[in-house]
Order: sequence, then C-alpha cells, then structure tokens
Amino acid sequence: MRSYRAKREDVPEGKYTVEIGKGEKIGEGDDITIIAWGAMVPVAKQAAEQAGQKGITCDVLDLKTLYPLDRDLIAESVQKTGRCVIVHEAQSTGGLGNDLLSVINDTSFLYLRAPIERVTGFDVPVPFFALEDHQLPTPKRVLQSIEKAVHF
Amino acid sequence: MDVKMEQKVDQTSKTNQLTLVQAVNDALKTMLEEDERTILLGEDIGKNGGVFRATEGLQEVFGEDRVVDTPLSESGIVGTSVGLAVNGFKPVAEMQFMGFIYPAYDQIMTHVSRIRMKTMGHFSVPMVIRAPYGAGIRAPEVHSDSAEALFTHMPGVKVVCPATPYDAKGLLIAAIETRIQLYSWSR
Repeated sequence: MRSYRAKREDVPEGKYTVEIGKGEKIGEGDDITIIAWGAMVPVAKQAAEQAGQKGITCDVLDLKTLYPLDRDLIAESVQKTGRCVIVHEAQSTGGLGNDLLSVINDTSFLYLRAPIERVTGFDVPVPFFALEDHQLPTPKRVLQSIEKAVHF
Repeated sequence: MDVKMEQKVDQTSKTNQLTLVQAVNDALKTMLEEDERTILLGEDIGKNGGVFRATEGLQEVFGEDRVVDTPLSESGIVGTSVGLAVNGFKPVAEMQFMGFIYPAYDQIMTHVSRIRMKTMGHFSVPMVIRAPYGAGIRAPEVHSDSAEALFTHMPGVKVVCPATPYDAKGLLIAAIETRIQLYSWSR
C-alpha cells in the first residue's frame, strides 16, 4: 500500500507493455546481490547505498515477476558476486525467498562464497498498528545481512 | 502458454508524472478504451472510485456495465470473472486488500488456475486479479498480509509485483493482453 503513492515518475501516455517473466537489474556492483520486489525495492536500494558508503558494491535486482522466476537474471548476478541477500516482507517460512534459494542452489552453488542471507518478516501474523514497523525489513537489517555475508 | 512480450514504448509519446496507483488507473483506462470486452469488477470500484482510487472516474466514462460495483464477496467476484473470461470477456477483478483474497482462494486454485488444463485447452480463463499487498498503513487484522507465495504455488497462474509506476502500467497492460490466466499485483 505504501508504494501506491510513494513516488511519482514519468509514465508514457497510451499503450506499452513490460515483459512478464523478466526482472531488472537496478543497481550494479561486484560484492553482493540483493533481490527484492514491490515495496522492498526501495529498502534494498537504500541498503545498497549505505553499503556503498562502506565500500561494498551491490547488484540490486527488482524481480517484477514472481512466477515464473527470472532464473537467468538471478544466476548471472549471483555467479558474478558469489553472495546474495533476499529481502521480502512476507513471513520467512514458506516465503518466496526459499524458492529463490533453490534457484541459486540449482544454478550457482559452486560460485557461492558465503551462505545466502534472507531478510524477511518474522513468523507471526503481521502485528497491529505501530508494531508493523518491527515486522518489516528495514535498510538497517538488510545492511547487517550484507555485512554478515561479505565478512563471512 | 509462453507468450513473448516486447517492451515497447513509443519514445515520442507524451509522459505524465504519475504515482503507482495513478499509473494503474491509466492502464485500466487504456485497456477499457481499446477493447470493449474488458470489464472491471470489484467492491466500491465504480461510484466510489475504489478504496485506493485506482478506478477513480472510470465508471463515469465507461458505465455501470463495464465498471461493476459488486457485492462484498471476493469469491463471487473471482467466480463471476471466471465465467466472463470463459465466455470471451477480459475481466480485471480488484481485491481491496491482498488479505481479503482468502475467500476467493478456492476459486483461484480450483478454477482459475486449471480450467484450461482440465478442459484440454477448450476453455481458457484470461483474467487478471489486482490486489495491493503488504504492511505500511498500520491497519489491523489481515490488511497487511503479504500472501504472494500462496499464488506462486499454483501452476497456471502468473504473479507479478511492480515496484514503480512505469512498471505498474506496463505489467498490467501486458497482463490484460496476455491470453492466459494471470495474477497481477500492484501494491
């Protein structure tokens, strides 16, 4: 709901399409891959900027399509960086992060230099009101996972 | 089942500064104009303009038969959309919140995702369901759920989740155009 009005950008008039099944690399780096979608994309971008200030450069992937997954995009990036942080808002157990792990396992296992990190909601129903803020992944939590993976 | 779609933008066309929800409105308007088989269904989407204003002003232009205010029944919205889709229409259903979709889960799992397969391709269900997901407005109960993984575990349904206004419009138009059943999401 937040990204409904989070920002404005240039949208062409009339008809155009964005290909279903393709993600996009929205940040370029060598040390680690951050995968996110929807409202977690700005969170991932902020974490990548903060990591950049510490000398860690990040590939940031906006998945856009969650099924079917863009396996080529994920594999190409993780094989380059050897590290990965997956960010999603949903609870960790049964979340899509696990499927992304299996894609990386299938395509890029021998390229990995650190265990894959996941930054997700906790395994509880989303708590009420202001407690939501503790459930949601934040740039700070993502940055901690980035550093953990890079310094593994 | 695999439909290749090119990313195509007419570079000369005018652009507008839009939020994501305005881009959704723009996409729906574009597709309603293009094909009279496109029909919107949802709770409060017509006269009210939608709980998040995604369908604001569309009923005034396209009428009550194409921008349909439904009863408060998610299962009914998706079930009706299935019937419309099988009969050649292009329904685009709105769930007010992702967390309200659970009553419609049965329709999506047992009908939307597999009518094409269980009729050996005689019927397909080219429909789109839009649902905003996730926390951020501090509402109680199910309003803040992120249930996207439930629908990735459903062969026959595609799941998209745009992060930007540009992608929201492009993906929604691609979803409506694709003649396969599909689950679109704009948060």
